[in-house]
Amino acid sequence: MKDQDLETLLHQLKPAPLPDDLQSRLSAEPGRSMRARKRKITALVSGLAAAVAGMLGLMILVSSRTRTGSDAVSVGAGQLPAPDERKVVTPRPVSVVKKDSMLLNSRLLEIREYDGELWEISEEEWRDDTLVLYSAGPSQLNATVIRREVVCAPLNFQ
Amino acid sequence: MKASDRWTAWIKENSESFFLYARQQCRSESDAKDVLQEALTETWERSGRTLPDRALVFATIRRRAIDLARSMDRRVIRELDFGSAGPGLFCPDFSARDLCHHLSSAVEALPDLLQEVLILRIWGGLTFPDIAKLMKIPVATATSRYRYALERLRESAALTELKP
Repeated sequence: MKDQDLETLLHQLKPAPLPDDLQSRLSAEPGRSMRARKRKITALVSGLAAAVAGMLGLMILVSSRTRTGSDAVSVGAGQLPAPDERKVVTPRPVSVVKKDSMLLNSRLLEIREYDGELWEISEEEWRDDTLVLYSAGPSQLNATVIRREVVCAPLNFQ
Repeated sequence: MKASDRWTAWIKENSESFFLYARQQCRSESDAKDVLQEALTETWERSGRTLPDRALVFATIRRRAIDLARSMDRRVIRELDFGSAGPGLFCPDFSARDLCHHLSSAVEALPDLLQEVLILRIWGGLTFPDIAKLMKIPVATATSRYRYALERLRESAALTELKP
């Protein structure tokens, strides 16, 4: 059989058709499907942003109501100020109430001689506790961070 | 013609040969589908959101299939695929049933490197310089692999018995 005959036979073999699912995946040009995907993502992100904004708004509203409620008690139920006279409560920033650091561990890494003096290089593990308080409400946050530091100190013999 | 119509016509014309090559390059049908879709998207973007060059699509399919294979444990994939015969690479042509069947079996039985050149040349319609560039081999090697593939097909017992 000549090469040409064989090539003709091979050309007669048709590649298997695309599976239906792949056909549908490739039916639209990539830009269109990507644009559709981008639209979906944008809609999702804007929906999430709206939800977060709503939650924040609700939190601010609840906290301001708590404050105006306590003010109302001090004023008295019969002497409520007119709506335009009511105090506008803006949320105050968070304040750091307490900050502690505690040495957890110290590990000697190396003793090195430099400039005629002995130096001790050690690794220290610290725990930093920070208590943050939101002034307008009862919320508080306690953050703990473990950090490591390499410390270099002159070595003194007594 | 609208851009979407051009895309549809182009896909209709070329997708089967692209998919054939993707299947030849990948270890599983589902990988071939993903690789083909990603390759088409990538080449479409790289071509300035227009219909990409066919040789570029074949080259991208190849690169993505290699990347995918590297990212997976090929041995495990082979073991999983072993013994599970997937659908054939070609459409059965019942008008020339025996010859078609034997020929497609012979193509499928070719070593990967020979099969790749044959697919790119016959169904991909690429030139030997294109194939050489894509496979990063000399043109002479591409040509000789093609000749060797034809030789192997001719030598297959079925074809020698079934001369047209």
